[in-house]
Amino acid sequence: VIDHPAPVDLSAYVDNEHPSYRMQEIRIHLETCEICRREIELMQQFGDALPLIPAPGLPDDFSERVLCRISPYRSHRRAAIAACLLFVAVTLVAGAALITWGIVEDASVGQRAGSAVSAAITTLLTLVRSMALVVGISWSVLVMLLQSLARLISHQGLAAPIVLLSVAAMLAYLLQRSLQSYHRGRTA
Amino acid sequence: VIMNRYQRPIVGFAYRMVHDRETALDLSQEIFVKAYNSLGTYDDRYKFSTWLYKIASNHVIDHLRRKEPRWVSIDTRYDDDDRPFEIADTRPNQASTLAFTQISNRIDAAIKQLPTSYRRLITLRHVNDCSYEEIAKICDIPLGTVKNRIFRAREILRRALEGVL
Repeated sequence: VIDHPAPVDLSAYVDNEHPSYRMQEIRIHLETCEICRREIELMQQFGDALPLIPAPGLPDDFSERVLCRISPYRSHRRAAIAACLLFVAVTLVAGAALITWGIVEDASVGQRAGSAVSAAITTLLTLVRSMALVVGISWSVLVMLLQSLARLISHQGLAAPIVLLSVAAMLAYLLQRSLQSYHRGRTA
Repeated sequence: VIMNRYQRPIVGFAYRMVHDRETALDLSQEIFVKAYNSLGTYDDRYKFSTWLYKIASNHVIDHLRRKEPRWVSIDTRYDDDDRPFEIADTRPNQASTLAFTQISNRIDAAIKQLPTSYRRLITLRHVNDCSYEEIAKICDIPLGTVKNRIFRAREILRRALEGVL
């Protein structure tokens, strides 16, 4: 009775997946066994044929398409986070400075500080605009919001707008994070 | 560099799994984006290709499960038993007249009809040239299961391709 290797072992032999001693045993068996040799040949034929089957060609811009989906996402994320953090930091520092110097307590000084605050708003405006571009918020909507804040500053002192600006910055940051998660979910 | 090196193997794998060029290209793009976003999780003690193929494999399987939920049950049901598969007979009437393209189409059709788990292993083995150990890591299955499934997949394909090879 000829002791043939199990078919599953022949399959692993084709893939060179046995330890060397077992490979040698099967090799010796194959020298004298036509049946197992035929089995091996069939398996090898299939293995040889499969990689030859043409796969679809890649479009020339395949890499670019992938990179387009990666690079902007990465740079947007970093830019948005940096802009939001800067926005919050500037707002908080400005608020702290105004409170420290007593400007908020003194209405007349508060009025005189209007121009300084306007300058600060202009700076913030630039930052917010960058952030808006990143997160895709309509610029006109932001202008409306900032105009409302400016009106608050001129009519109701400084403390409330500073708080509102901080809250707006935090909301913008949270919004950006949500959009980022949404984008990541779509990508995944 | 990574993309230049792996784009063809990844697209080849995706195509053999889904058998649709556009879907394969879309999935491949998603795989690379996913890999890029997960680079932080890569453990350099393992081969990069194994890690990438694992992402590719999981992504394609997820896609197939969403598209063809019936394949899930086949996948589970035939995990480790010896029941025969019912696959369509794709044999031509006159085998002697087959040209290479026809043989390719036959092999392609036979692979397409393999259960997903078997198709994945055969593709990783023959298209992506992965070892059993790599396949075990990519698919999160024991080495013995890889060996058995590849053998069974070959048996199924041999029956389907009888007279062609």
